Amino acid sequence: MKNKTKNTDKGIKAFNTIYIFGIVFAGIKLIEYLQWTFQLIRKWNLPKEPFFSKVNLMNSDVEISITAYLIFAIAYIIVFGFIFLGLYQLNKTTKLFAEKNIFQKEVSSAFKRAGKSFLAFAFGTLIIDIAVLAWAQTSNRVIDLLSTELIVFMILGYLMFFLADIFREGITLKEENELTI
Amino acid sequence: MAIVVNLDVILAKRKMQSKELVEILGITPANLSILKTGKAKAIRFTTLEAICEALECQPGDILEYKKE
Repeated sequence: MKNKTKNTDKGIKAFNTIYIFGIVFAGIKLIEYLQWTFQLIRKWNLPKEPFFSKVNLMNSDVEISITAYLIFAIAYIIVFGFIFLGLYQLNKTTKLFAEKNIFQKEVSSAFKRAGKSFLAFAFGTLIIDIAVLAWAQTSNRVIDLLSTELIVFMILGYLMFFLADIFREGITLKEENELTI
Repeated sequence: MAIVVNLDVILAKRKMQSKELVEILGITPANLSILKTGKAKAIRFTTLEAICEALECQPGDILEYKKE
């Protein structure tokens, strides 16, 4: 029993480390996006750094207005916030695990919310990229927008839903066990 | 739940208090309450055997099926 508790604590500490790395990495990306957007607003001209869409705007026949760039940039930043929401929900689950009551409804709900957040980020960025593609009328194909990042977050999102279902099943089994006299 | 536990009825017939039954069975009062109020999802045969022995009755005296 003591070994199991030690292993669980190690697992929670390992997850916390990954969570901190995730927050730092996402934070750095968000700061880059914000800096690009502020430069755009301040100079009302395109910054030197390329726009963060996966669409190759070099081949574009159409010139995108600064206002359009601003709208796409703000949409990207809002959608990027879903990563933080997802990571926050995952952090919530480890705090609930630390209370040693693993099979509770809040854990299942937190995993489900994390899954929704990651999927919102994945599909949100895809929709914005498709909108940029349509606006820019470049020779890019939609299939080129399927990046590793998109696939990873889609898999992660569905994995969270799967975990939520497993925990829901665990809660049912736990309740049945507790109500067996 | 379609299975009704008539423990109160048998306890009254045997003129036994719940506290007494809890001590004989070795279960907590909370668990006995779960059984009496119909919240239990399952009962172990060992528990059912202990109840029948304590109350000198048959499982059918305690458990009743009522179609919902």
